[in-house]
Amino acid sequence: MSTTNCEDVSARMVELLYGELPADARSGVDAHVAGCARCRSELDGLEKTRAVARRALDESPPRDGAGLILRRAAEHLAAQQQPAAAAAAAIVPAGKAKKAAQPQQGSLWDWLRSRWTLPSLATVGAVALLVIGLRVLLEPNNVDYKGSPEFQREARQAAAPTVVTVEPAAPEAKAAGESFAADRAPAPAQPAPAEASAIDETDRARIRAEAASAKASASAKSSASARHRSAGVAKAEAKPSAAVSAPPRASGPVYNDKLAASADSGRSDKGKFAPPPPPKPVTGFKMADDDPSGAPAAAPSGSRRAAAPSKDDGIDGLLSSAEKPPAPAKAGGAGSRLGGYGAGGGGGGKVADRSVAKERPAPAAPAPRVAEPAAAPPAAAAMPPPPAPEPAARHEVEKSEKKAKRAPAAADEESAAAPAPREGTMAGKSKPSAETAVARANRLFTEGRWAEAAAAYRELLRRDPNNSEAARWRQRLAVAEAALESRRPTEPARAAPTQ
Amino acid sequence: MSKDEADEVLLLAYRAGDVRAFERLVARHEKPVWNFIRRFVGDPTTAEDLLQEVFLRVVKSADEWRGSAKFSTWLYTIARNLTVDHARRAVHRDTTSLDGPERTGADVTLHDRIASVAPAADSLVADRQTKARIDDAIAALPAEQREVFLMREVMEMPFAEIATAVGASEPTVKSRMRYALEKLRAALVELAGDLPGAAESSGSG
Repeated sequence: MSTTNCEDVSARMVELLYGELPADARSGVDAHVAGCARCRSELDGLEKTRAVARRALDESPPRDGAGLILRRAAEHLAAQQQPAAAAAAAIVPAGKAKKAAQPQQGSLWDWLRSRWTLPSLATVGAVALLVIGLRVLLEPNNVDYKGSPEFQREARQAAAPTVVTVEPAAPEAKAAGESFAADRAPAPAQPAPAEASAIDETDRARIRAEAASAKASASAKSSASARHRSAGVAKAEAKPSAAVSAPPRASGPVYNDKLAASADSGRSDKGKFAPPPPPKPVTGFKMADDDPSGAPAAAPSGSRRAAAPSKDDGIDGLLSSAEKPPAPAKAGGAGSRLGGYGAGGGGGGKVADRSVAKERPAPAAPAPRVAEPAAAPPAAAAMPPPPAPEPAARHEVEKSEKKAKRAPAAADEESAAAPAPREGTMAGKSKPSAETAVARANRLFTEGRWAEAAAAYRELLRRDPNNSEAARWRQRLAVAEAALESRRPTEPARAAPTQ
Repeated sequence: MSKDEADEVLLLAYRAGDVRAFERLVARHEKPVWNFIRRFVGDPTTAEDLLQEVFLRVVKSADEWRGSAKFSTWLYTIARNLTVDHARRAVHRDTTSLDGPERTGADVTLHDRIASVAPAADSLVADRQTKARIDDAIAALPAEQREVFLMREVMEMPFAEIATAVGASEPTVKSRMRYALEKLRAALVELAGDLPGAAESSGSG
């Protein structure tokens, strides 16, 4: 374009320099520059300036920075993978379990499980929270319960009754296995007698209402009522044949019923559902720990995921309950808060289980029926990493041990949040309500707010030094402190740096 | 994974669990990011913190990257935002920031500083002084010109992407670039004169 003049070229100089001239302007500009000394000189000068400037723009970054970055990248990944792996484990085994189960027994239970594995996982998570929580809330009731005939009978059958569900003593493994079998047995026999289910429905409705109101009211209140109800109903239920009454019920009550009647109903199914390996008592929320070896089970993968939030909540629960005891008894919140206690003790399991089972429907609204059979595993899952995979989870366990191993990292804020979509109904419910202390610390750490993160971890360690996550906290605290250290000298001079 | 795997592929690989893919991304991009940060943050330790922060931010939001933007653009935008934010805060923290005098009386300040440097005895020192001079000249650019200049020269972002990153129109960005180049030319004219091969390095692009 012969019409291109110096001004045009000047206006396009930057584009010319950086090769961004539009195609239609290119030839005109080139032609002009070729014949215009002034424009050529201008172009030359700027080219040289660029070349000079670039000499100072080639600094290599400090080598030691990448280390932390990559470590954090790996950490993040691990945290992400935990839920991811859990999901994978839940999905894949679901399919596999189906196949595996079919030859054994084309029961309704199998059908339900294969179909509802995922939802039930969510349910499982919620139930786990409740189990742990109510276990504590209802501790007082435990005393009464121990005096009850059922309990005594149970005590006779099981060596360590107080920890039956989750942490059965080793010698009791067999009994526990039977109990679990009993738990499951009812499922195939799903169509429960009208009588039993009627009781159930009303009971459940009440529970639901109760739980809803509990959200608004103090947790103590709700738990109290739950306790009453469960105490009363459990007995009433124990009357109908165990196999029948069990299904609609969640693990806790079922367990009791089953214990009462495990001899007959449980044994029949025992063969189909191999008893879980000897349960090993564990403490705290170990299950959410990063220790892959400690969690060889699938229960970890599936239930871990569900439990992950509970761990965080548990910590927070410890904190918050210490600070403001009568915290709102959100379905999840109550459970998780108590989860904190559960971590410490785990006693009074039985009673808690019972009432939990009653309350379960509230948060576990989706797939109540299906959730029932699965309820037992969650409870255990929420507890320590039981080398004793629960019945429902057992299949997954066997199939996905590898996967479970892949899920080492502890539940981070990320990991806790990640599963939310699917488990939104439950785990999600308690989560958003308030950022837990652990999640907060993790977030601060991830955001590089070292001082705050360090303080947060310090506080966590102070309050809960024996938490299974403590090692991780300590490690992060060290990193945060190191970061602070390296920053300290420059902090005051921060302003000056900007050239 | 081949050596020249696209950034986006690497990020996806990282998301899928491959930490080494992220390592490659860091290796590939930390230098531009570093050189960008360095021109806004004088203190090396602070700059290093910021460099880490940038990549940690990427780690944190890796799952949010949806592929709607080039990874590099996304990363550099993160880097730019964090850096500029930091620089802004730093200015607020200390009104005696070097930014002030340099912006208002850049030439004088620079001149004084450069003049105070004793003549180079050996080439190494001379090199260092040359670099210091260039650094100073770049640092003397107003922040909005400096960031555009650096995003173009160091991060090699097209003007359109720079415009998006800084929230300005493309013509505005080009205009800032032009001002930046003019200022640098004025400040570095002697250096440009004795730059070997500078003349040959034309050929726009």
